[in-house]
Amino acid sequence: MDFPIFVDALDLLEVGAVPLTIGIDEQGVVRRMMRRPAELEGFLAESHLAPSRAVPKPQRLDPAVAMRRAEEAPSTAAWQAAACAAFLWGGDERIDEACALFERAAAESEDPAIRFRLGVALRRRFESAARQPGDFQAAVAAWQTALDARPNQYIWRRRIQQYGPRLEKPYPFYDWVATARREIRARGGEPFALRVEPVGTELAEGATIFEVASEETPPDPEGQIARDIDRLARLEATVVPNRIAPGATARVHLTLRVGEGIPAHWNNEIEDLVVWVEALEGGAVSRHRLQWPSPEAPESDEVRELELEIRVPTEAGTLTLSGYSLYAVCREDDGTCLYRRQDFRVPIEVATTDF
Amino acid sequence: MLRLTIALAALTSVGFAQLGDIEVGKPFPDRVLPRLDGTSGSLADLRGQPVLLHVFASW
Repeated sequence: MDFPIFVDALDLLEVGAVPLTIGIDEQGVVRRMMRRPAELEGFLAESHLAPSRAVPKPQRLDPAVAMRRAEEAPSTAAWQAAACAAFLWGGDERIDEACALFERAAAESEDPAIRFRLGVALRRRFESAARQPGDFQAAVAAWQTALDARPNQYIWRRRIQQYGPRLEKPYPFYDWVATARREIRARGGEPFALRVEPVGTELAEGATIFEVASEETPPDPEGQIARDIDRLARLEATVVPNRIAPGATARVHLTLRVGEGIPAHWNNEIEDLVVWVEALEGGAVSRHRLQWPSPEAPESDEVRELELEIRVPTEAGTLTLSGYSLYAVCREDDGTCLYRRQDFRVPIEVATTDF
Repeated sequence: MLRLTIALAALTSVGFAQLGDIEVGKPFPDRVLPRLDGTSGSLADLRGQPVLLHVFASW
């Protein structure tokens, strides 16, 4: 028996609920919408051999063809179709195009589903080599806009929660992956390779209380470490959700990549990478000092992701979360190894939301 | 002999408040989608046999 697994990241099927089991007959006609396993037997006992009208087969739309159609007969639907084709079948080479096309469609329509899909495309670009500064934050903003327009959309809400504060997480989203792999291998199978491994908040346990950071000593209080003016490493900070209710919590994702401009790699032979987060005026941070333990290899170029949570003040307004990172890097052109500091400032909007 | 195929759709993103275009008695609004193994296809590839489509999200 086959178990083909289709992936509908863009929500193109528009099914009504999850989990949901749908009984479809030999002709492609929906016969049952099942919410309980006991309903399965009823479907199996039925006969659907009576001929029904032929259902046309869907065709895979080539990205170049979709783009040509959109250019020849522009419309929101055509731009969105081209965006979906670029996203689904264009790979990372067309992810820029997919984002631009979803943005174009979103500019012409209030349809929140387009904004949700734009967010999916931006998040995928963030995970690709084509990433642009702010992609992750822009994805969160697009998802938030979609959710604001359709607040009962359960899965859009969960998408934000996936990257959001632990107080809103009912449980870790992907803690079952390691178990599934182990069990699949134990019975002689080979698990599918994931395109992106679950990390950080995707594996974080839910929490019921906000833990405030204890007093710690900043690693460079006088700012004496030289700044990384050549941007041998790049630090990107993302706040989820991007608009926080007064007194609520949010999760801050800090992502550091090395060698994206000038070729360089992490130097693991001296101190670990450290991020220092300053106190948040009127609010609180869960940690001031975050550390990335250096791998055993003397040099590496992995993406380094760190997270903390913040609790914002009880009054609406805009504030800034600031801090810095200290890290050891080596240039690859002349072999120079340096210890550098990079500062960051993250604007945070505290406003009443529908959450 | 009845041959039944089970298909799974993952990472869908529609909530309980929506019913979309899926209705009993109407053709399933099929789409060509990527498969987890890197290929692509649609439920139309399974025509001629009853199909159970189980839709779930991956958390």
